[in-house]
Amino acid sequence: MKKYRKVMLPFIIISAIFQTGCWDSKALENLNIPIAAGYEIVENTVTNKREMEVYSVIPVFYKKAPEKYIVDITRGDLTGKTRVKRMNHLSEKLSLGSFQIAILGNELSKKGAGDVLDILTRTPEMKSTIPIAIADCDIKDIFQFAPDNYPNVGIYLDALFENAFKKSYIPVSDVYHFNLALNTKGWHAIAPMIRVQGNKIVINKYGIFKEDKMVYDITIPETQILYLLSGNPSMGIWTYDVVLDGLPCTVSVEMNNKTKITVKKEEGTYRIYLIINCKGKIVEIVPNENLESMDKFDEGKLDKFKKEELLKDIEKGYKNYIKSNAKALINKAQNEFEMDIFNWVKFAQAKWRKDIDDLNWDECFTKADIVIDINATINLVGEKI
Amino acid sequence: MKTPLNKFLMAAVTTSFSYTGFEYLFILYPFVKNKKGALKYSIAANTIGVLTYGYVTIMCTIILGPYLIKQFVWPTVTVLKTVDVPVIERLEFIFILLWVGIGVRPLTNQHFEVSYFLMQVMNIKKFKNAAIPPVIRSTIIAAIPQSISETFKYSNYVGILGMGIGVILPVLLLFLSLFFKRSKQK
Repeated sequence: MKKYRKVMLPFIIISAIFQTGCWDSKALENLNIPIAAGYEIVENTVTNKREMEVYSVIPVFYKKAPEKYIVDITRGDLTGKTRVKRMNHLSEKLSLGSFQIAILGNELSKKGAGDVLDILTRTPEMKSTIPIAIADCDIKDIFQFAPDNYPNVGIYLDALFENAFKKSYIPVSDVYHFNLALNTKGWHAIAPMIRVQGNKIVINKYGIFKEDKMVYDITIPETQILYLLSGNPSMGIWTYDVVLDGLPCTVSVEMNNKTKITVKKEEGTYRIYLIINCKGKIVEIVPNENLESMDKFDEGKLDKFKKEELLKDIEKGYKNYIKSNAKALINKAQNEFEMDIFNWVKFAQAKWRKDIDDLNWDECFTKADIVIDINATINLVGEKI
Repeated sequence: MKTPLNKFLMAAVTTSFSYTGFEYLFILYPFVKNKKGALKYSIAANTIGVLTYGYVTIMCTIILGPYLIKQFVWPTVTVLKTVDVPVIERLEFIFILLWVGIGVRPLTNQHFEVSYFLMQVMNIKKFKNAAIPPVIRSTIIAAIPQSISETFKYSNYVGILGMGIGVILPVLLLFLSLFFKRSKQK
């Protein structure tokens, strides 16, 4: 056996390299059929008791089966009880290791999702990177949705979240992040809300939690600002209006943003300093006045945008756009929600954990002074002069 | 840094089980060929253990936070569950496979030492014969705890006992050697 040991490693590496020709990492992951599960609280009209309704998308592997998956709906007093009840009517084995998507019902999210999260984290077979979302419509509509080009709704949702979290400039929401925010003092968990819209399922808005209950929701553009202000390094495309040399234009820029957050205690109140550093490039500039009749558009005017002073105007426009949106969201959080939805408490906890644990941070946040400073560098790059 | 010293000491009692094992040196020392370097290497080995535990503790606290970390039985495994590795998917299973290999080593060392001890005390000639009773003992002890929390409770006792043997025994032996040395000189 010893003499084969040296040969084994190169053999494994070479065979792995050859296998990538047939199956790339994406294809290999797609071979694993994701199971989606949904949880909702419903009222039993006979007993007048609240029950847990669990939805699961389970693949069927029989060639001649008319449907390639089953949507199972099982009711029980508790989530655990539905596991036993499911076996009474379902012949397919539910493999918890393949569990990839978790959807919480709207009613359950409002009443308290702590118990379901406890089960999702307690079960050893389940990983903590399962994306989590809230149903913004009847959860049944989501699970009974038949996507056009995907084998089942589980695969559709898996692809949707993977791309959305990477490219849509919105916060990652998985069991780990959600549970961390839910169980950390002063933090507020957020999760995307999805709904069926025509022949698609869309991420509609984000739900904000206080302890384990969803109390508010914000729009997707607001969520993008929230993500930026929370201190997460983020990349994305922003579109805003700006007047360039007297010409009203719409500009799209691809930016890398990073916010530095510092919390200071000054004269009994907290002051939060945000320094937003942004660097990126212009994606497109469209003059607004020519949107209706692009044929008449004078191409020569675009030359003006290459001038340095116009780039400065684009940067200034970006700063104003981010600042005004950031101020609007902070104002909403301080006066309407009265909650630190940005979880800036962690920067205060890092300095004065014991003191912060003893006080109501949300109250301190509503009275806090917030100072925003933005640095933006935008370049004109690309293959065309 | 505001945590009082008594809380650190209370935590040390719980973690003492992880550091037990250094008392094996009392049995292993006669087998050591390079006795001059033994102290240096044993300190180095313990330092590696301390640094590894320190690193794991800091990483788990950073990832799970001071509140969530308290909820998990094995935070290190939970931390590995939070990482999404393409194709492999479940990193924690690979870690557990590696850990089984590493985790068995202290067990085999302990069995060797107990068997050797039995050989010396009970005058057993063959090592094979001395190796059986510790295995039976371990199997019986492993069946006693009914839950993980009970296992941790017993491991705390073993940790305290190990620390006691590891710290008190050498001090006691030192005093005894000094005493016998003096009486010999008289």
